[in-house]
Amino acid sequence: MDAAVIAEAELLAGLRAGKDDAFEVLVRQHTARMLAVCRRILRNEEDARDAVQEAFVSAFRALPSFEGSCRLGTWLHRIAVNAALMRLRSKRRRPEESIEDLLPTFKDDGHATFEPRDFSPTALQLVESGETRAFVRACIDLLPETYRVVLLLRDIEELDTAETALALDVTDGVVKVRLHRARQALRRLLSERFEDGV
Amino acid sequence: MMTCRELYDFLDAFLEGSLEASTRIEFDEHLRECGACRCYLASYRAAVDLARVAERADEPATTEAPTELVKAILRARAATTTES
Repeated sequence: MDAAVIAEAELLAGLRAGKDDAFEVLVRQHTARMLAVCRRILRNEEDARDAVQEAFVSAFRALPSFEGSCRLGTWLHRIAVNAALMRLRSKRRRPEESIEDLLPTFKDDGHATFEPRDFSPTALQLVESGETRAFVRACIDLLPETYRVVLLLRDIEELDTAETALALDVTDGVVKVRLHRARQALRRLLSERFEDGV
Repeated sequence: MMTCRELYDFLDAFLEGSLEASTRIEFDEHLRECGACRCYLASYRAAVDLARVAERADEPATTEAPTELVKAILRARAATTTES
């Protein structure tokens, strides 16, 4: 059996036995990754740290029902996503802006009303720089929140459609539509900079 | 023949590899004929890749957890244990 699997089984046994050192190992192993997830969703350091703490408290309570059907890291990742989403919902104040202006438009014959250009060679080269990556993140932040969150969950956190739908309490169809619109809108925002270099 | 608008609607299914065979044939036929849609598909795919790189590249090392946060979590666990 894989050494990592054995180590995880031993850790899980320690957690189930309520051993303090097992809990410390768990927290030290997984906090950084969970914090990265919460930072991406919440875009605020204090909120992200609070969400990680809330996630661990939820995980400690749920530990007796953890069946081991997935890795501990995967289980904690889902809990962190849910904690961040709950915090995001509690902070949502202003009405969401429309995404329509960022979506492609078409003529009656079905052709696009614009001439798309392939900016991928330029963009994938420029993304080597931290400044470009910050620009891409800023573009993601310009998406209306319900779309930004779906893009993050599907494309960055790699939840599948059903997991995303469950986390957001919407249907699979809603997730698919939002993801498609979010990607189209992000493409449009990125094109405004990268097409100059094509 | 599939229109550009219809092709856009199928982009995610295409990227996931879940297009039905008959739709996939029409999709490929349209792409062969339409340079604009080839450009759109390439840049759409790039947008997804760029988002992934940008969001993940500047993550701190996964082993480095802020000490204060680790301590706060362990204190919270101790408090939970005392409650129960």
